[in-house]
Amino acid sequence: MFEIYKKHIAKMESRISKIEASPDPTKLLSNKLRYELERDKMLEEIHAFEGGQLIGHSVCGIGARLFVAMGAHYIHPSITADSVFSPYARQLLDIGVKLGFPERGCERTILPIAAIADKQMPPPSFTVATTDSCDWMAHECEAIARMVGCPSYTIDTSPIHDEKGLNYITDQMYEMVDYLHKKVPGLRSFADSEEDLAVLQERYGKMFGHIREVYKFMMHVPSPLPNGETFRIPWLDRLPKNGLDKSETYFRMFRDEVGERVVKKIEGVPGERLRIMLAVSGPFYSDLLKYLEKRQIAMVVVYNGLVPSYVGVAPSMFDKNVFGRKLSPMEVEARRQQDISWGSMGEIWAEHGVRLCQAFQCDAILYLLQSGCTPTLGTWKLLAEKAEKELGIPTLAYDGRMMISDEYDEKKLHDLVDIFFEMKS
Amino acid sequence: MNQLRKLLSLSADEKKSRVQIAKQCKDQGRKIIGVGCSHVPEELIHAAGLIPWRLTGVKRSNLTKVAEYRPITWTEPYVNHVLESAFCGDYDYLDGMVCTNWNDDRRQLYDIWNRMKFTPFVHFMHLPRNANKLAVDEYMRQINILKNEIEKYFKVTITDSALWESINLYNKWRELMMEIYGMRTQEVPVLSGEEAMRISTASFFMPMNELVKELELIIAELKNGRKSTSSREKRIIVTGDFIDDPKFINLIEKSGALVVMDDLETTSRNFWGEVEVNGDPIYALAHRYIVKRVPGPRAFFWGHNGGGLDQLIKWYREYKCDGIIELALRDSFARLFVRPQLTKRLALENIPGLNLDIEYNYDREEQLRTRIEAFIESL
Repeated sequence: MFEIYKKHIAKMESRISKIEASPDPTKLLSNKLRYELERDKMLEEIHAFEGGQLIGHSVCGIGARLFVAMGAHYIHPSITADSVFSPYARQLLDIGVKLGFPERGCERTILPIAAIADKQMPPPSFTVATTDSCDWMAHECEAIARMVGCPSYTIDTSPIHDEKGLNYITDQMYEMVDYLHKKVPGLRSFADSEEDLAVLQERYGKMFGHIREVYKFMMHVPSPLPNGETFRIPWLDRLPKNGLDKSETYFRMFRDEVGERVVKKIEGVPGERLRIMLAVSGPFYSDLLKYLEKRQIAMVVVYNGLVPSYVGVAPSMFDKNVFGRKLSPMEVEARRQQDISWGSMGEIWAEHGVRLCQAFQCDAILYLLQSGCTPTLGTWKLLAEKAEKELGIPTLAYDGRMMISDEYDEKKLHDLVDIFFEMKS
Repeated sequence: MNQLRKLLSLSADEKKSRVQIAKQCKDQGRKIIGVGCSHVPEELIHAAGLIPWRLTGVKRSNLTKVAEYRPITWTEPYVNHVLESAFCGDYDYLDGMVCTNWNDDRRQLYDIWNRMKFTPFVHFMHLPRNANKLAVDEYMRQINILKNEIEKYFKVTITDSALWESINLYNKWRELMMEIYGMRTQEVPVLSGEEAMRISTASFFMPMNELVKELELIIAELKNGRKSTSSREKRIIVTGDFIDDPKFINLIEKSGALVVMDDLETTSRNFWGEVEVNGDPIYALAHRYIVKRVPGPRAFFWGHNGGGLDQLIKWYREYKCDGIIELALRDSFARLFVRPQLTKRLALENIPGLNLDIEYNYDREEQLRTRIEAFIESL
């Protein structure tokens, strides 16, 4: 059971040992803490399952604080897939296909379902499905709940992120916590959890602030981080429940290290001559980021759904007075579901993308037409046209799968990139 | 069978009929609003004196214009065909377009339509995926926003009495359609599946008051003892979503079966369940479109709690079917994601099922025929 988890934990421990034995001065020292947190999180999940503790699955990030405040552990199945399951993508997708899911679809939603079926990920005691991102993630947690036979609640989010939309989400969340409190023995009521939730939001808000500062550093020229490190600038949805002190230390240290690199004018990509925004993702199995580095092209920001709110081109759940008033802890949590740009309307996706390019002084956009990514496949041109019109910057759209490398043609991607940047130069 | 023949022939050359009827409406000074989803409350548009017009793609074999905006593989073909039609000017007669986020692709139908300004009026409605009180309240809010936007843009006032009048008209249409569909439970049904689909989809382009009159006459004809022209052994119910090309149904029927019922957004789910005529008309509409109508697979409760899957099984038994054929639009992920639920439930109920992934335009006939014939033979 959990063989993949255990292999990943061993990988983290190996990296930790390596850094302890002889830290590479060109790399981030804070990565040691990062790997420790990753290891701790996964061990925590295994122990929680083995100890019969409550585990909630949700893909909207609210579980990181709300489930924890209510006494459960939190797993974000898709972020777990990103971090852990990618090397086993084909094996897990085959299981997903046997379960009846499509071969070609959103891998980060199908892989967790397959992983639970194959006893590679702790199953939930309950799930909360949300529509804040896309069709796939909306159905993922519902499918998981159906498979394991646990209670599930669905929160419906409008793609228009206004105050009335917030009220709609908040009302559902109150219903949700009541429902889960009744259906899941041992889960605290919201009344008993609200104070703890507020404390967690405060602590997460501070860590969020550190990440936002990192993004501000990334706006400097030259980029202080190599492309690989930029790609994995962390989110807050995968921290160990009992590891918040270490998490706070990590984010502070990470911020300080990146800041120091800016002060010392350390070039993350030596000889940086061009800066690009990577939209959606980059295929996980490709060497695209290293290939760009060889061409002195710095990938300074990854445009995925959450980044605009992390950076500040869109308001985040931790920003105060978004609607001109103080929000209650439940409303703050509800705001998390309005933080996702690709869950909103196409013009918002385009607008946020252009603002990111502007903020990070990008010269071009590389946009992955990711197979199965329904919210971003049909909006690439909206962003590309707007970027061209407002900033005069071009977009290269290239297709690929996120984690399955069966059809990957490295030479074709390299050639596309070379031609694109030759034209750009 | 003159009325039936007349309606069927209108539908047979749908593109021509649509253009002709649209021209007639425009010549009368009427404004036409494209509707991109069966959850848009057409009654509201009708009450404003506008003509709701269901968007269907012209089903070209090559999609070149939309391909500049969306990869046409890995994205839902219905939306691709509708957008291609828009890019080609097929909808130049439309004065507006309203759609929902039935799925991510449909949200992008709005996004691209709005960016290109294919029509001067474009409106998006958020469609909840639950069917509880909060979802109904939210959809009421959305319907009120649509009402305000229509009134502002088209300089009309939609009174409650006008709205109730439209609701009653649409309820009449639903009642007549359910009566026609009820006749398909007979041992030798009065209509083929292809004919039933053509009658269902006539509402996409015929003004409703005219259609209701036609249907009343057609029912009278059907009651006078029409039988389908050939006997077929196996009774099939078709399930899917945005399929509106009767050739798919015809293919199944040429393969030795009779399609006695269809569970589609374009047919039964479009008209099943009337609006309750009491209280606030906006609430009545929201309640019908969120709670009363049969849900499609986008709804979270589709697979349980009396949702769409339960209704499919109920229809299977009511229409005395021998098998279920799922016609799933390629890359329509709302449908593909729930396929494991469908498969599991059919196995539990011991119901033979066939899953087919199809294009929106009628294509790959031989491949489909082979699989359908083999399935029907196995029944």
